[in-house]
Amino acid sequence: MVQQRRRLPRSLTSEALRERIDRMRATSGGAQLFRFGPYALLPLLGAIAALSPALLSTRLTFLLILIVAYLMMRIVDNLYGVAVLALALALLPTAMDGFERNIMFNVALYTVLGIGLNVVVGYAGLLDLGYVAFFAAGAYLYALVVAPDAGASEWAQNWDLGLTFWPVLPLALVAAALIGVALGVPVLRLRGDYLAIVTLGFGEIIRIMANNEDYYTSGPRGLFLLPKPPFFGRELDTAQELYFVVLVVAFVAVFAAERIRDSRVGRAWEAIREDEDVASSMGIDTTVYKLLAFAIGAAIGGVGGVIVAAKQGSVFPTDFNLDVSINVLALVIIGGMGNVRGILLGALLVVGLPDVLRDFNLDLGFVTFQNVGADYRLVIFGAALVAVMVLRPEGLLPSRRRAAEFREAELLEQEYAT
Amino acid sequence: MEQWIQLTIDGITLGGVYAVIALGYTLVYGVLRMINFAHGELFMMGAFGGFYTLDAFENHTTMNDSLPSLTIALAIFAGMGTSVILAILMERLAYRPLRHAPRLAPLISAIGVSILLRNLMLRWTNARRQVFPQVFPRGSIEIGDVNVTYIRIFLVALSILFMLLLYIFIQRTKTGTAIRAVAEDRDTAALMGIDVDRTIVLTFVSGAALAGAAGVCYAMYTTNAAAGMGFLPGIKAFTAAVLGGIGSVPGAMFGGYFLGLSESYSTKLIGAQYKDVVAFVLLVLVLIFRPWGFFGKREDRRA
Amino acid sequence: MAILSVRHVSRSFEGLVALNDVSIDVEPETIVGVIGPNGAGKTTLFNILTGFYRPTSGEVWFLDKRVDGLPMHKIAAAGISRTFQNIRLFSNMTAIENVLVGQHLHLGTNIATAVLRPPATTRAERRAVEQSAEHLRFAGLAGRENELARNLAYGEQRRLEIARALAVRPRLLLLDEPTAGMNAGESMAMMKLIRELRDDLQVTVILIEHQMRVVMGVCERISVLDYGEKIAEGTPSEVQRDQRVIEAYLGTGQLKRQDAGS
Repeated sequence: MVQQRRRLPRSLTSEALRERIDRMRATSGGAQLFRFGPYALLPLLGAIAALSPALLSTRLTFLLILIVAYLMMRIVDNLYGVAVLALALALLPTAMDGFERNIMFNVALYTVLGIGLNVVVGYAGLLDLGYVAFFAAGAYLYALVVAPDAGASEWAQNWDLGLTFWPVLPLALVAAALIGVALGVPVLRLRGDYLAIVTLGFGEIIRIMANNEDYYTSGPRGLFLLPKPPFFGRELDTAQELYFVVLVVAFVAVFAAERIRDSRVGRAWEAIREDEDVASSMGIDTTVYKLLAFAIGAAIGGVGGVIVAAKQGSVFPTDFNLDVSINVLALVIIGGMGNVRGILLGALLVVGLPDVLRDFNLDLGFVTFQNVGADYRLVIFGAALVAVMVLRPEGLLPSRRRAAEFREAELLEQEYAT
Repeated sequence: MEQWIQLTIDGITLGGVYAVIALGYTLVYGVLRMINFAHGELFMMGAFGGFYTLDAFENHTTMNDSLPSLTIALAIFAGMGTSVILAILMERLAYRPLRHAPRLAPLISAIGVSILLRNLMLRWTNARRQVFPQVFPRGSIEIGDVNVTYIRIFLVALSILFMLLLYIFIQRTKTGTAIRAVAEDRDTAALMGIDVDRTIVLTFVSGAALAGAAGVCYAMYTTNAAAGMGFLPGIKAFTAAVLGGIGSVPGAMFGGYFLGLSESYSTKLIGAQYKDVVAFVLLVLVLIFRPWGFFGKREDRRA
Repeated sequence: MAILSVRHVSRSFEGLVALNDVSIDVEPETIVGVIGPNGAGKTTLFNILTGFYRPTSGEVWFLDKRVDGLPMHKIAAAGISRTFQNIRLFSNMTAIENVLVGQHLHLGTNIATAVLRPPATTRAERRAVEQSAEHLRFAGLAGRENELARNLAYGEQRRLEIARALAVRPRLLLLDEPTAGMNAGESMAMMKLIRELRDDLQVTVILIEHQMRVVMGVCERISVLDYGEKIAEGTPSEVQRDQRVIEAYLGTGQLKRQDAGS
């Protein structure tokens, strides 16, 4: 009894723990499997990766890895599991070719972006369709303040700030958060659907500005020959090395996002999502907390922008069109709003899979779809967004909380029907 | 001076198009309290409906030459038909199942429909602009030093005609009354024996018909059709609807012209490259200072 | 010295007058009832007191501070908390999480401490959980901590609303029809809880109530609203004898029906 009470606080504040306890209870016989599952999967992952160059096609390797990673995510939610997952993710690219490493980089990058947008959409319930704005802000910031080369803009040549990747990271974090606040202040009092359109507009405005403010951005010509991140006297320039950078950022972002969710701040967001008026009658300054979510999401997006600018070595306005916002939104929603495992799965499906299926031709006999992954990805995302909302609104790997919210609506509907 | 008159004529032409699209947003918002994000894509699909119909008739030069008005009417009706069919489908498949879901769900579903249609057409056309057949007689009339093409006069006249027709439809017909009743209070309307599902479909249909017609006319005016053509007019028409007060039919008309003119003048005052920004800035300003718009009813918070 | 002073407050909605020149003074640590037929403006009054609405005219003073027109979260911080007529819990959060949200003002966790979790934050968080459990026990919900709010029974949900409101640590608690839909036994238990709120926690209570047995049983003073105006005020026995009150209720037959129907 006494022990029970001492354990109470942690189990009450950590959703992950609660979920695990629930699951343990449901499958008490298989509890051992859950404890050792991740380790059992590790050799499997290794085997796939080791065999892949010799026996399997790129496509098949990736699909297998995807499946194993999915299984691990279903099972892994304790510290050891996370460590195993991290190790596996870190070792994976060593056994991959350049094409696959690029895919892994993109998956990791979009996981970071997804975690950022999830703070806004999944935690605070604010639909942001202009997430690309912060991504662009980070990327352009990097291009403007690093040591200018022939491809730098006039402004960068004139000022020649000469910063490197590492100090720009926190700088972009702060700058993007400030931009988030500046954009958020006028619009966060608005209802959700207005917010969606206004943020969509902000995303477009940033792109239009990048296209026209020649002095700063060189317009459509873009900025290029940007330096890579320095690392103890050398430069990180391979996809694999930059993948590690983004992997570390992803883990930090996951860690921070989860801890914030499980704190007073996360509870305030949740209360706002459930009933904004009641939340403020509990003493929550709803505007401040919505701004906070917006700023945190923006900050993570800005960091993502810096990383992608450093990796590509160039920045063009066309890198920041609406499709980026849509991709991030799609991965958050398809994977499952409000939780990290869902975002990992979402990033694999939305970013990884289309790249793997880039030149895949689907022959249906009467009609052939060519280059499905490259050309039809957005068609499929559009359909997937509708399908997920209609069939499984909580996403593929939902947080228990979000599932409950969406199911509640369904129950209400059934009540209406009877 | 004539430059300003020219800009005014530009603005009115554009404003008419925005107004007609905005009506669709306003109608759907009125009955469902939902922004149909895919409305701009209905506009685009309408344009393609007209385009492919004209394409099929392209070889019948005799018909085009002898009866241009019939060809134009055919294209417009084809555009309306395309949009209407799509609207019925999207309501049934993507929105109706979510009527009692949390607010975010139908919104995301609508975004999905919008992405789906836009990218489907992008593939279909291989991402190329389609040159719209020149069916409308070229030529213009001179008023003083200002030159007004026939197509502009046609566009302005047609948009006014459509708005009048819609106004009569909403105010005078039984269906229109049902739409107003559902917009006012869905549950009470249902108790009064109004078929709510049918009324909602009809609302989508009327909005889509207007969007389809506007799409064809706009494509004739710009002489091309492209998969991305619905995006900006869609957002701008939404802005127009909010400017006027979303849910208000006269408001949408006012908002359309207001936005058309602001945009047109801004090309002179700010520069053409930022004309698309004007709509967003107006939208934000209105939402901050007068979120119920110029004609809308101020909604008090419910207890 | 009154803890709450409502001074000549009016509120109209598009020309419709919901409250007309209402003045009420509430002494500390009393239990005050607000009664009146449906549509008399009782909930509107609550909504003004909690900052949900701004009064069209008039002033509200609480603890010598003018609070009308303040945003809701500031009024909560000043020490006014409430429950809702149509229960408005965070229905997908557990019972204890609902109460933890109520503790918002009394925790200092920000983003930095949330991420880094210094010992002080962990301690504060743990204390908040224990206190929340205490609030739940006070409201008679011990053992229901981890139940989702929407899975609680109706009466339990009403109690959870009170526990959540208590977590704000109010000096003044507004209860909007706390016994609505309850049977006689549940009502009795609720009356006991309301008395304990005042006796044990020194909270001043204002309640809107239709069940006359509850109002007369628990309230020390009663204000009667009709068509947005205060028509009577006094002790339960004074109000019961008041001619205007009898007329107002006979006019609608409500006093009788409400009492019999409950």
